[in-house]
Amino acid sequence: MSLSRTGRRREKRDGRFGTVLVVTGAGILAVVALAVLLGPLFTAWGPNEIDPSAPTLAEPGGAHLFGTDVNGMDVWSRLLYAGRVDLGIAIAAVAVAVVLGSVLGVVAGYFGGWLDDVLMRLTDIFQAFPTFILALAVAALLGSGPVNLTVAIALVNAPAYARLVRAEVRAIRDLTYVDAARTSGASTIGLLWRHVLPNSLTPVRVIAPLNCGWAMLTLAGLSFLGLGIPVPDAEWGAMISLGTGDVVAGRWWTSVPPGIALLVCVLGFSLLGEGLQERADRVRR
Amino acid sequence: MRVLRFVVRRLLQLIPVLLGVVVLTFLLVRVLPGDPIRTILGPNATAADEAAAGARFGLDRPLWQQFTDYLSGLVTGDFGTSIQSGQSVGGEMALRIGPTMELVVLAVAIAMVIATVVGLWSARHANRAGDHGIRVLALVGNSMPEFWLGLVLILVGYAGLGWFPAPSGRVDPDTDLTPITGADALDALLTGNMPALTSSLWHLALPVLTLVIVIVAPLLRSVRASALEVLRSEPYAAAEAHGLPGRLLRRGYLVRAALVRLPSLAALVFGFSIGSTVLVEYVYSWQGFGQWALRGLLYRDYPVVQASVLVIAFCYVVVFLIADVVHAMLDPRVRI
Amino acid sequence: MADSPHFSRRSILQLGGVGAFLLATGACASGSKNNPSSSSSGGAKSSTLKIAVSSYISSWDQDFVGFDLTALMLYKNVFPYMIDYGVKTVGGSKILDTENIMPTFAESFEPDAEQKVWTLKLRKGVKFPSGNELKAADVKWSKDRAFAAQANVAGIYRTIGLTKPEQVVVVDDYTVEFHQEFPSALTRQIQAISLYVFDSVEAKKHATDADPWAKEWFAKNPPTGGYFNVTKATQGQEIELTANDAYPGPDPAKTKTIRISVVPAAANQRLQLQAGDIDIALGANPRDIRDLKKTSGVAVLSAASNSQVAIQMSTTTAPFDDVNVRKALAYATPYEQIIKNVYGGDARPTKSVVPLDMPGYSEKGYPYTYDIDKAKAALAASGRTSISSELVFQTDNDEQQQIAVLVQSEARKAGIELKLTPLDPATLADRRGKKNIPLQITSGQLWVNDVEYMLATSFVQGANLNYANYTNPKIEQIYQQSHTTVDTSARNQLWAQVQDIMAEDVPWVVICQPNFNLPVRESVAGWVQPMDGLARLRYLGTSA
Repeated sequence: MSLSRTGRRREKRDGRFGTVLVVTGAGILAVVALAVLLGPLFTAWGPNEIDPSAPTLAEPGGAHLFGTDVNGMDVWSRLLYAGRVDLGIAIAAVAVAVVLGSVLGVVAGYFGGWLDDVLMRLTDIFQAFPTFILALAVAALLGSGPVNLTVAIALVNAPAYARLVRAEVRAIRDLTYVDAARTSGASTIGLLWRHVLPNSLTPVRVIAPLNCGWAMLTLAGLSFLGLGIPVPDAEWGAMISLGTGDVVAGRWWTSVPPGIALLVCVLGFSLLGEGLQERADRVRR
Repeated sequence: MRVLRFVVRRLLQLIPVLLGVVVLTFLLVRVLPGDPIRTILGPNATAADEAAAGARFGLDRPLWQQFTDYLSGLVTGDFGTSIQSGQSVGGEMALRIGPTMELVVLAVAIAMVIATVVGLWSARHANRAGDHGIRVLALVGNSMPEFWLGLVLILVGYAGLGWFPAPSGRVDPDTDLTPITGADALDALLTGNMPALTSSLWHLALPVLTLVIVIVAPLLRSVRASALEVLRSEPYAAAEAHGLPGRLLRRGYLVRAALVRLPSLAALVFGFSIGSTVLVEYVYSWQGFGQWALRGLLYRDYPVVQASVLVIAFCYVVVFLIADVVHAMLDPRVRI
Repeated sequence: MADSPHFSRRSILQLGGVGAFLLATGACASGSKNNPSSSSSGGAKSSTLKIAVSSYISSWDQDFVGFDLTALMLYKNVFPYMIDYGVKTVGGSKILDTENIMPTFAESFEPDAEQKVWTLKLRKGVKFPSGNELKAADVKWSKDRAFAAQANVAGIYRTIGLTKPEQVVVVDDYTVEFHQEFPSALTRQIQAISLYVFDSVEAKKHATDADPWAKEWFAKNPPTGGYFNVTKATQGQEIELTANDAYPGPDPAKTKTIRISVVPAAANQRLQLQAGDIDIALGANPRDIRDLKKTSGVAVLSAASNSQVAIQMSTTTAPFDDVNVRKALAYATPYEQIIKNVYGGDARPTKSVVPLDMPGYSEKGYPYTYDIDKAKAALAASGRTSISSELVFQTDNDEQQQIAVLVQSEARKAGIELKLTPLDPATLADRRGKKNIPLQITSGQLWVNDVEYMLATSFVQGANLNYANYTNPKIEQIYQQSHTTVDTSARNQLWAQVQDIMAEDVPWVVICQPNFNLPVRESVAGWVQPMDGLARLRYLGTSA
């Protein structure tokens, strides 16, 4: 804590930035979530519906806010429907990864020994696997589709959480309050669930939003390469891939809006995560 | 000494991890639907032709034997023969790793420089408009899908302004560059070929810029955070109060301390970049490692997939080892 | 004091250094490269042609290689082929004349009276770049190798009755005889594809006991001795071809140097063509071509083509094993809309399974038009009001994707619900092998412009392109008969019967024949449309 008045004023100002980031990030995400959940109810076309009256690659304007793409489908409607897919998969994948990773991390960190070694080597193997190949493998084995992609992305992200949680658990397992709970007769599971786990999740809370953004970019990248959500289904990365050839011709409305949508969403997650980290750092100081 | 023991123990543990990766890849790629042999046969091939082609690559032998053959090859450095091209996988990989390394190394280096300079400045002007602006800008860059950014940069830099070369090829062929490592700028330097050097640097500009914009944010954050810690620490305040000149203060206290966490983070970033250059390579037609691995995957070219996964996994594992070691050295709560 | 707002000298140098480096490379490079907005190409020699292709060559070994159209096109130009098609002019543009085969590297290729023994006479004194002379022993070694590889050539040789290496006989140093089991009308065209020759003397130096056919050496080393020699072929960089001065025959290559660069993205090819960085874009897609037609400095060469786009329906998998269901899909396909939306009108509607320009084409071969009512009626005739199935196409293939979407949307109106499934090359090949694809979009061109070849590859039982698993004993019988029927009018009568049967059985939905369009710089001249889809680079020249 600073001793001078200007120092204290400066620290108050410092603190506000973190909150600003969190609020902005959460705000952006709230707007996007609202748009993609409710928006499609108001659009005239479905995500894979061709408008027979409009030409393909029609310019924005008139009935089509962002024009039509190469198949004659309305870009704006697809943008909104795709948002559901992208947001849904990103959040679900990270949720699954957090759960899976935390459980593994707690077990490995608390019990230590050979169990720790084995689990960590297993997560190392999965973490060492290149994302795209693992995702493709899972998708190919289970069939492509949103659920399977969620599983694939979750599998790729879980190891990081396992390591994070394990590190925290190892740091606190010998701390006094855990010792106290243990000596007062708490069962192992109860101990883990009530004392160890909640206190190990601090870094997770900050990383998870950032991870959501990264998961969304992974999904978009996979779809862009043709390994994720298959064209012509609506997903922002797939939409960008569909319009790649047209951007060069000046037909920007098929590829640029989905890219901007991705940017905005991921930025929202990043601001949220950055803000949370900022506030966490403040508390630590 | 404890650190050394830790490193050696982790290095030994590296081997089963890599072995695990090899086994997993070997099985995974054969379990995937898709037939690599039929993709190399013409439309007039019969079942006998298919069997003959399969035998040529050892695919008719029992699985365990294929695995032991592969493993014994690996030990001697033989990665097998590509089904698609009939050439040695190791040879193909050697040609393609250079270009990708060139891209990633340059991008990470430039990003580190920018992160250092801007991060230190940002920390010294913490929580003023400039600092906020820089942090948000870095985040925006980090939030962009890199393939989309690549497309936009090509549109603006090549099609629009015409300052940068077409997104195909890494060097102008008129310069007659002899490939040594595959990294064209390096080869040009090694052979003293000046026109090739400028040509390859110019071709590198846009792809490197794409990668830099995307990866600078986490590096910036790390430098800034470390710098802030130093700036707000008591020793620094004391030195400042004692009247040390600014430059000495910064050089002596700030720069070194702020850079302490950067190498491990850069290693992490480097590791991740290796695995995901495929998107940037695709957009710029870079013909590097990522594109080669992807093509191998699409065609189920078993040796190619196995080799590329192994190399990427090796990079990841080494990088995590470095990160773990540095973390363990710095965080007093963790006992090795 | 401490918080001085200006940078320290070192940081300025660092930042400035980065900026300076960018500026320096930009300045140097812009000095050494032409401004892209000017219309001249960036090459130093005006007798250099720059061509962009979409995928890289997987290998230089034509016998043991992956089936790769770009590679096959290159092989056509760098291997010495003994014979090739002639050129004729149709409607103002030049095309390869499949009915007129001329010897190129060889002196002559003629049959005996029964047309079972074909004699290849070589020219004397033709040398490979290694200095070795091209002799009959090279031809024999090359064809023995083809038989041993059991790949493309061995496969098509079967259709003309060549199945064993013993049937290729060396008579003397400059004469080789091919003893076919039966006379065939396809021989000249099949041999035009197959008579490429390796430098066997050179190859034997690199053969080992484990590798008697020098596979390793051939995979890495480009062949030589064709119309062009490969002078540079580093993976990941451009391939450079130089005209072969030792070519002995008529019509030598018109351009001294050709550079081939691999540009997978069609959009990038278009950009480079517009800027003049390349002269020919071999991988542009229809939309880019439509735009390029309006660009100054670029010309689009168009020619009618025998490339067919079709949906092959599996006659052994439900529900398409019922001919009425197949007819329903045939009536539900929006042919005109596909030609308009996907090809911009630049495709010919077709009325038969036999391609339009193939001898024997008859308009009665495919009497189905877009008519949803008839589609519903046909479906009802099969006893169903709605069915659901799967439409498979190649991932990464824009045209097929657009066609699939249109077909799905219209078929739905007739009660046919289709799930779209894009597949990567390996999975596609695998499922084709297992023959479990109910519907798949295929596009391609036959190498031999003859219905017998079409039957051999696509419609007889077990044929490799017969993804529809179609069999019909009458077709088999006609096919057998065609082996030995050499007279043209008799063959045409057989083909008329074939098309009548096909119209009834409708194993394919034949969508259209897209025209061939090649965007080139205006200075490029001499294009000859290849009937087999493999460009003959020797006719091209640039007048820049």
